[in-house]
Order: sequence, then structure tokens, then C-alpha cells
Amino acid sequence: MAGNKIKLQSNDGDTFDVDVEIAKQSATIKTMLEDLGMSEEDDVIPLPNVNSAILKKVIQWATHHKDDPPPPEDDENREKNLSDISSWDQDFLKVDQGTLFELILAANYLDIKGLLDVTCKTVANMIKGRTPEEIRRQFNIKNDFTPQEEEQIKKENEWCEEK
Amino acid sequence: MSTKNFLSLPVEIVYLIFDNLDIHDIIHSVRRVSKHFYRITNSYNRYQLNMCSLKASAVKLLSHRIYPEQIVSLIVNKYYDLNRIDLPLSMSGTRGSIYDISKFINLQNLTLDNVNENDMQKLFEHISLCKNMVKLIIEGFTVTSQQISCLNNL
Repeated sequence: MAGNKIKLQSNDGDTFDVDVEIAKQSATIKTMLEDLGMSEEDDVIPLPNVNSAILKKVIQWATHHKDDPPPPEDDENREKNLSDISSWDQDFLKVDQGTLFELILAANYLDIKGLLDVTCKTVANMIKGRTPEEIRRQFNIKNDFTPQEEEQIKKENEWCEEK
Repeated sequence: MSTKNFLSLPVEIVYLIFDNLDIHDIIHSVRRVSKHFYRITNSYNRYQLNMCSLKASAVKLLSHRIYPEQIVSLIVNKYYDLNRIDLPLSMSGTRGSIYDISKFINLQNLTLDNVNENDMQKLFEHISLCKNMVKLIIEGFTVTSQQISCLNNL
């Protein structure tokens, strides 16, 4: 029913009152409510994998997208279009990398397809067209190839570029 | 300050990120970042290969890095021999087939741009073996009734 609220609890103990319809964008929460028969009124839904700061962001995203049409089922047909991130989402995702990766993990755990899609696209945009060294710098990743291995990989590529 | 970083993502999520990248970015860049990513590019099996956008040398490189089984989406144009997806004709004198179409057993999407009739026939015979095929796009070609009945058997 419109206006019904549920309580979501983060792993650091904060509780958030959220419209049921907004919370149900999370397939995980939807299943808890519908299939497991949790009542909406008094129960608190604990979310042990999500902290307050991230849960707050997720609720903010879900509130903005509450009237979106449901995402298409067929994953395979989706086109790779990196520029189709709405400007609201782009602003929403102007966060530090740690937060971005936490949002991805939360979207995955809560099973919110739209949020998972847009966060993964954002990371893909940070990779696109970059060299390996630029990607390492971007994400602070250590190059753990031995000099011999690196030489080997370099050779493989040179061999290909000859013709 | 969060402690989460790219390396803390489970491999399924890295695959979701790869789904948004083209094959060139994955093989030429991500693969060379670290051992972790090198391994993930080897196990990833949803590559999307657009032969029209790649130079022959790039296709050659890819054929040594990934197996046809790892490719789910393929775009081919008339410059490639579909029977044995090949280098452009101008190069095929120097090197034989790279990818045999019959090895693309996990194809889900296939786009054919102006390929010739013989190739089309061979291809139709093959795609009935692709159990996961969901989308076929054919451009610049007239499909005969015989080929339609072939497609009906899918």
C-alpha cells in the first residue's frame, strides 16, 4: 500500500524508515517481504553487509529512481553504451573510489540492478582507452609481474603488431 | 575512509564491469595491469568481438589470447570468410584461418553485414548448433526460403 514504511538497519546500527515501494527496488528486500512473509510494520530488516553512509546513499538513489520502469530482463541484449548515464546519476556518483566500490558491493548484495549497472559503467569509463600504467595509477594497483613476465607480455604484443 | 578498492571486488562483479568494455580495452590494457587481472581476462567468457572495427593484426592478436568459446557476441562483415572467420582477403595469402566459426559454440548475438551467399549458407548450418543464440542481425542480404526453413529449425 502506498505510504507504508519499513525499517532498514545498517551494520553499524542505524535504522532508516523507507517507503516499501522504494525499498522493493532491492530484489533482496522484495524477496524478504514477499516470499519470506516478513511483516512490514514492526520488523526491522537488518542489512549486515551495508554501513550507514552507504545505505543512506543507496536509499537516496532508490528514492530518485522510484518511478523508473523495471529494468529489461534480457541481459544479453543490452548495448554497450557508456554515455547513457543520466546527469543525475553522474553527479550522484562523483564520490571517492572507496565509496564507489562500496556502492557496487551494496548494489550487488541488495540486488538493485539499475544501481549495479550504473556503478559498473562508471568504473568501465575509468578504464576505457587507458594504458595499463594509467589504470594502475587510477586504481592504485601494484604491478606484480616479474620483469621477465612483463617482457614476455610485451613481446607477445610486439609480435602481433609486426604485420 | 573506505578500505574497498578494485581488488576487493568479487570476480563476478569484475565480469559485469568487463561487459561494458570492448575487447581491445580488456586484452590490451586490463590484462596487462597485474596478475589478478591477467587471470580474470582468461576466465571471462562474455567477450564481444566486432571484426569490422578491428585491424587484421588486432584480430590475429586476439585469436592468441582468447578462445572462440569465450565469445558471446560477434559482428562480421563481408571482408571475412565466414566458413573460417579469416583475415581480410588481402592478408589471407600470408596466413590461414584464425577462428573456425564452428568453434563459436556460445554465441548469443551474431550480426552479419553484407556477407556473401555461400558464407551465409554455411553459417546457417552452424548456428543451429549454438544453443544460446538469442539475436541474429543480417544486413544487406536477401534470405531465401531454403534458408528460412533452415532458421526455423533453430
